[in-house]
Amino acid sequence: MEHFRVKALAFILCLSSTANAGNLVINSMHSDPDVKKSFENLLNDFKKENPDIKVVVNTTSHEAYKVQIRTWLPNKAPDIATWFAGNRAKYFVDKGLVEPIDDVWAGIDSQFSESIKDVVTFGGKKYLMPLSYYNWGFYYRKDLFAKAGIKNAPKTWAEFTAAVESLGKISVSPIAIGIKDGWPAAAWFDYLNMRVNGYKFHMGLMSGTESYLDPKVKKTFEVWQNLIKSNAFNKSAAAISWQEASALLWQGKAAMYLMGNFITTQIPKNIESQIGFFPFPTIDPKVPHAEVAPVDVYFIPAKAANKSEAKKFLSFLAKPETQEKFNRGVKLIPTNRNAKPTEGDPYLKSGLETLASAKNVSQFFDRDADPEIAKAGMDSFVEFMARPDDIDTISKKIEAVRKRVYKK
Amino acid sequence: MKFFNDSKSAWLFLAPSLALYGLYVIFPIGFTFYLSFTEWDGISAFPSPLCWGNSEVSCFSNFKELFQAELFWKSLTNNLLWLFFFGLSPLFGLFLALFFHVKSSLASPLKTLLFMPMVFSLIVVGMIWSWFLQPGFGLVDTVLHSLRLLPQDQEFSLMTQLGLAPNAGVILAAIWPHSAYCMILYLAGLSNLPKNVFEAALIDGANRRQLLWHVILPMLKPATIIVIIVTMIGALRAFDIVAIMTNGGPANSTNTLALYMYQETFVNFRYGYGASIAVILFLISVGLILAYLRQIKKGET
Repeated sequence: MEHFRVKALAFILCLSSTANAGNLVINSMHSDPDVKKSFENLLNDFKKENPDIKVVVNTTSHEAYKVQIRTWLPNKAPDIATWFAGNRAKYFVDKGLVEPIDDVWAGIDSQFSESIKDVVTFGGKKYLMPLSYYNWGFYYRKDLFAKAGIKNAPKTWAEFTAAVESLGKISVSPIAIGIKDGWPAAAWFDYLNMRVNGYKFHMGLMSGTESYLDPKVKKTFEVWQNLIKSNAFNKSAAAISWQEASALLWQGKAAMYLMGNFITTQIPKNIESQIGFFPFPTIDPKVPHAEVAPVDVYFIPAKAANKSEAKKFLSFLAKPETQEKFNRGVKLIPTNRNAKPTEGDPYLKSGLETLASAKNVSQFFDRDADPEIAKAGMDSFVEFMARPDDIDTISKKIEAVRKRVYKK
Repeated sequence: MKFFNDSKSAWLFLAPSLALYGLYVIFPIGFTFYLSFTEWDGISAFPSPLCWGNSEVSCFSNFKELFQAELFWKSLTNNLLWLFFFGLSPLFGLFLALFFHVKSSLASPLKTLLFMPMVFSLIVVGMIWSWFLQPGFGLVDTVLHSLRLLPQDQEFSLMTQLGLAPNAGVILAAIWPHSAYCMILYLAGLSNLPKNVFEAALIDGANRRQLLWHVILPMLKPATIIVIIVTMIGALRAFDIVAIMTNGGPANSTNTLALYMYQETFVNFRYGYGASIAVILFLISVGLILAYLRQIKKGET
């Protein structure tokens, strides 16, 4: 049966190339033009240092990659694969499909922050090499805040809700959101839960050890409920995409937007000076800040053919110069602390400050949670935003899926 | 001298297409049935059915779970809505075909315009319609506001509601190109009808309604069979336009069986469970089509 599987799947998906000694096969999901180009530059630098290694890159689109990796990873794996940090990687690590790389990490350990090391380490061993990450937070209209009489960007929850109220009075949507695809709602859950209950509880909830029926989760939903009921969000939320919601911000119909830093590449030139950034405010002063900061990582599949070349490549990725150069091209933040941050971009600067002060980073709801629970969760959040009254029904729905997934 | 007898050579000529048919149709169907009895996650070793060597687990546990899932019944209800409302497009198509089956210099460009949406990919149709129906800045929203049918402080909210309502938007979008398609099939049918039958009917004193009901419609029956089967299949496999317009949302309000199957299989990575949805969808489609064809046959004898 095993034999049949290997043959059939290798036949169906002629994705992974044959690997010979001195070769390095990389499977990548970074198909965006910017990232692809920056990665090519990185590879050229690597080839200059290692002229004897022949590098082959297979780039697949993001969504297809997520499906296909499950086919090639256990069978005919490349030497390097791109992936996400945290629980999405743990899934493969637990199945024994990822090569531990503690030897690559030896000596460079101190160049990375604790929060980063935390998401590449499983059971005491390091498995992943991070290259870049980015921050989340509020992108807001300075002009609308001024018009509503808000002097400073809110730092506490009281200031935040006061800002929401004053913005409502100048008849704009205080907060933009587009949840046609559920994930922007999940960002709200992530942040509210991390600010109300802290990183540890949040991650327990994500990995299935905590229950959605816990009164702590209810507290998170209650904070959210108050916001929704005070008309903080645009009414069109459920029917529009995240890009259409950002248009509300650009048009001045909404005043702030909880989003990842990738949104800054889309700010129209004429309002660039009006867009500011502030981190998600403190809700409970006793709870230290954790941030949503998805980390892009590279790893060596356990079945890779050229592990020594792959390790050379990962060592190269970890270098401050490599990270500096790559991230300058893609407007992301290098994970190596010794890498100089990209200058001249105010959002990258504030993002770096936000992440530097964060005690922990989470990887985003649909990467931290089991895919099935993530899907049920995001559907439920959309429902909650439309019908915020019944918290218990919402929690029960997610809990039912969690119970089924984790009974196994 | 004959190397093969007739039946042998018939099989020989059929072999290539039979092989392809087997590989691309029969095998995947059988494979899907097999998968539906497993709990494969797509990454572990290839699965044996759940109940093999384990008498505690039912072979049909995927199906049991499916029939208890709220989302399954929601999706099935939506598919039934599709069957009914999307099922109106043959009527529209027939109406348009009868209307444009005239020789006039105006009919031809109008037909072309009507046929336009058929040329677009469903993805494009879906995007256009989701912009039409957009709350706040969509076409419908703007028109309703300018006609003062919607208060200025409100937005057109069809697509933001939970429940059955947003299905209306999605199905409407799908009817647009499909009616055009039905029109083309009927136009082809109409142009094949022998003229002398019309003339004979007119000479016998049939009025227009009688002509339509007793002459044209019965003679269009072959076209109608195709149109209805294509429409039924279209309603049951509704996927692309839903995925692009709402992705099944808000909160699964517009989910369909095909999209549900996709989400379970390729988002949640439950290949076995996804296959069980596929099996149910397959049985419903085959059942409906067989029932319809049987009805037709009954009518003929």
